[in-house]
Amino acid sequence: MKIIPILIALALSVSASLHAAEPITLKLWPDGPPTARAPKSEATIKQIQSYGPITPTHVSDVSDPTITIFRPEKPNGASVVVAPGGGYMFLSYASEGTQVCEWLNTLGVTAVLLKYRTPTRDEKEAFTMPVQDAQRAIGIVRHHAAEWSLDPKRVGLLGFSAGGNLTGHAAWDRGERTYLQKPELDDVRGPDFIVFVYGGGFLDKDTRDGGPKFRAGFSVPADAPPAFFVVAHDDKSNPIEATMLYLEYKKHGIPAELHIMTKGGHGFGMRAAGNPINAWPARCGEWMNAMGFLTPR
Amino acid sequence: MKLLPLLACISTIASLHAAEPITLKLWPQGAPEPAGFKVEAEKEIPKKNDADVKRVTNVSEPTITIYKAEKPNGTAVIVAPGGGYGILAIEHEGTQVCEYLNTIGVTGVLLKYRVPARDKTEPSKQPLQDAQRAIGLVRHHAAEWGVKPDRVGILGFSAGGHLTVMATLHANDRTYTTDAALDVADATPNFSIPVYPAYLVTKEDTFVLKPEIKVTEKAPPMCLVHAGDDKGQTSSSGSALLYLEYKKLNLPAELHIYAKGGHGFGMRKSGLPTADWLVRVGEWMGSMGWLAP
Repeated sequence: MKIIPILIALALSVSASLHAAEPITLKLWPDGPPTARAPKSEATIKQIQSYGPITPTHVSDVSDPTITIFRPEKPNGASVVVAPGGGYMFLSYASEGTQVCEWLNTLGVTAVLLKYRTPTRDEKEAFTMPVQDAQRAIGIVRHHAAEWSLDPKRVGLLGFSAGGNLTGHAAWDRGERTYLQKPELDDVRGPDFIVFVYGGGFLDKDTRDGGPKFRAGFSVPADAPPAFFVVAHDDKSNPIEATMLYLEYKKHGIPAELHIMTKGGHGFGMRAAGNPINAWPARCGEWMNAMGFLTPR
Repeated sequence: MKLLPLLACISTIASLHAAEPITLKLWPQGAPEPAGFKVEAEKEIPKKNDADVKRVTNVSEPTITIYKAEKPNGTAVIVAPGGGYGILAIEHEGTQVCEYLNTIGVTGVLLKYRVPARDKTEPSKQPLQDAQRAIGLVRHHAAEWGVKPDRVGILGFSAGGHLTVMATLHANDRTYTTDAALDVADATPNFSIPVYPAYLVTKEDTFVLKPEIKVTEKAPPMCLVHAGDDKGQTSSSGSALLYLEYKKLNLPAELHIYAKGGHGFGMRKSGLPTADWLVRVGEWMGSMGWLAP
């Protein structure tokens, strides 16, 4: 019988071509991350459980963070690192992750899905490790720019909820980086533009002495990257935060766009829930286009 | 037979006339003007070129013009053009807006308010009288025009955006004697759409709202539209700050600030995302339930 080897050959060639189109995944820290996560507290374990079972689209316990590269058919040179939300407890990996990457690909944008260290609720600051992961991810993207047909000056960062918090820190914090920089993997520059989707965490929770204000020590720097903010009006204090951040951009004269739709709540991601806000990817694509990020230079 | 083409022709003219917008005077007995105010003849300043806008000035007989939708859904929007309380950009911030509203079943009500300003220290005084009266008239004619009296909104541009905000937040602060046949006791619009509103912020600090821009629990839902590169007295900070006042009181509100677009884009086609602002406004109205019959 000669048919079996032929079938095997056929199967191999099919899988080879599938693999060529499959997104590639890279470890952010080939020698292991700079710091290990603390063991989860009972409270964190309980809270994570309250959000439902861990599945491939609802990821947690990420100790060896990665990026997965979704390449469009015709790359226009722009890339966007995508940080899912999940309260620094889990990652909403489909509707705030893979589906976002697939949409970005339709715009010709190379999408880089960031699977950052989670949970980090028991660390001193929940965002520290995720921000290290984002910084390293942007560095790796810039180092691979030529290989992936990317413009190293059009690398964006897009995050949802806790991923928005991560995005803000990566874009606006101006202190020293918190890990040892490797010249072949890191880059001193932050993102070239950001998309902040129902993010938060920059306001002082204590409002006893008057209206909302930023956390002590926080400010939007004068060299902040252009930003696109989108949030629903009925999403607790998140629209206040986005508006206050917008006003800081305006004071600096840095281009920013802000869409607050009346209805939508929190955490809708790429879901088609039938509210005008669910067309936010279209608005975001129009903004990227108007800003020139989709045009090869 | 030569009669048929003639009949067809006549019926076409008749139907065209039926669709013509009707115009009503806001003040059949004459508008309340300051003592000694001199009336100059209203004049239209045509466009100088394609990039220019059509202007109207010396309006002393303010009117509303009703653009009826083919299939009215019961919602009406009063449209207040901009023009710095000096002129009215009557076309790209007026008639064209009404025509678009008709395509989504909304009755457009073009407000030709009094300009130029009678009193430079309070340029919105007479325009606010006109807006309050316009809301009264629309509600009085609601049944006749297929409009629901509780679905009357107001939309305005620049100075007309300021007027929109004033008509929303100072709906019943009257500076004229009301007439029960023409006014309504409560002239609060049912919703409000300021588009790149002017004069919301102080001259000294464009990140501070003027004291009269004060939101109360009575304020109806609002949708603000602005371009982020709008500056000075028309800075987008005004819309952001006004949005925050709504949010603080937990009143329904929506805010669209585009990165680019400048001031006065109105219905102009530009290829920028701002060119679709009225589509966004229509989506908002739909989400609020105002486009359903």
